[in-house]
Amino acid sequence: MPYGCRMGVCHGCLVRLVDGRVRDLRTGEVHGEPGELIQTCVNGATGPLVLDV
Amino acid sequence: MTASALPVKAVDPTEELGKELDRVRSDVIAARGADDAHYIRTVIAVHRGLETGGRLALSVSLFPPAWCAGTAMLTVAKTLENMELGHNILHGQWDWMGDPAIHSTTWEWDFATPADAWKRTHNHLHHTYTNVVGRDRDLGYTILRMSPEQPWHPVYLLQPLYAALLAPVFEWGIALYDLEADAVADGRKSVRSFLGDVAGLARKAVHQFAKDYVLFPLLAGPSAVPCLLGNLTANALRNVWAHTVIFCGHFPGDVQTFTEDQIEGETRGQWYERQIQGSANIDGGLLFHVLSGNLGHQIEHHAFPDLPSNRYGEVAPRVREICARRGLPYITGPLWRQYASMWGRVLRHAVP
Repeated sequence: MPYGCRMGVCHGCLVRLVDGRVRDLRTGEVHGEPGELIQTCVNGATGPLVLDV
Repeated sequence: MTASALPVKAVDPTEELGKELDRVRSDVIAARGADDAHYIRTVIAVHRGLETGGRLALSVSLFPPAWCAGTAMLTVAKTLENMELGHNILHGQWDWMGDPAIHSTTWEWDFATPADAWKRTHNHLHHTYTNVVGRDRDLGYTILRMSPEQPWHPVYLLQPLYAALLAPVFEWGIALYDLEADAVADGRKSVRSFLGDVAGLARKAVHQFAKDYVLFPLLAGPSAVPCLLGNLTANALRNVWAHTVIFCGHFPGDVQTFTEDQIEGETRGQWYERQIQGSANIDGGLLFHVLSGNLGHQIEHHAFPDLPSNRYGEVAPRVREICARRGLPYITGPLWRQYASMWGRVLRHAVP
């Protein structure tokens, strides 16, 4: 998977979410719509997750 | 039996700083919405209008007032596109809108260096390793000595001269810099990757050259030569302005540099602290800030690189107050003073 700063500022880790929801590890916010670009370095899966890498 | 005192949990001021700035960040994220979207779309519309008007005027630029008006409009258009639009959109500041046309993954800017090459060296490397000597290549762009930790070499005696000469061709300097040839020499970047970047730059350069120095002049017919000169002037002026604002971001005299040892095991609070200590603001009004991509709020930009630029002015008083209360520097001043201070640093480190 692509990566950059690994701290959520550079947007170099964007991967498209296909299915499932993610939790922003910085704020706890659960989010994610199909088609959305996710910062993989600061988000974790909340359940089964499908990413378009 | 004596009761022993309960251990007091020490409050780490740097971590408290981190939490305070994280709160500023989350406040902006909670508030951003339609007004911000309207702002960026307005700037895009203004850019398009100015570029269209400028190029139309330059198409009849044999007529001197048309040349002046056209060059002026195109210069402002290119400045807006580079600084308030390109730099900020490529930072991901507008990705939250989910608009595929205004997104860090799709925007390609009117600047020599290709967007993806720039994003890597800027968003990742510069913003992570800000002002760390030996890691942040923006500290002198591999050609200038900007801190005493950098070893001196006689070639630096010429740096005031070549730093000045760089200004009108700044976009080409940055384009070559983004190839990271020094990283290849050090073994940090593969030759294959480098050649790929060279190919990308060649493609972009041909596109830029053809657009400004072939296509539009040809379309101008009899005004071809003044049109070409107008485009050249607009690019040069935009380059000089960008060079000015960008050099004032981290080079005014009191801005701190850091060593690699100092960032080992760096926490989020410490990262914030280094961003503040390693950046400098420029005082100015709203128009100045829009024309400089809100980089006059360099400290706020470095604390929150991916928050919408129009919010930097709004959070600046809060950041300034946090710095004052926590004894952190907040380096700012009018453009002339920051500019002079920057040149002072260039001169000072030109000598051993």
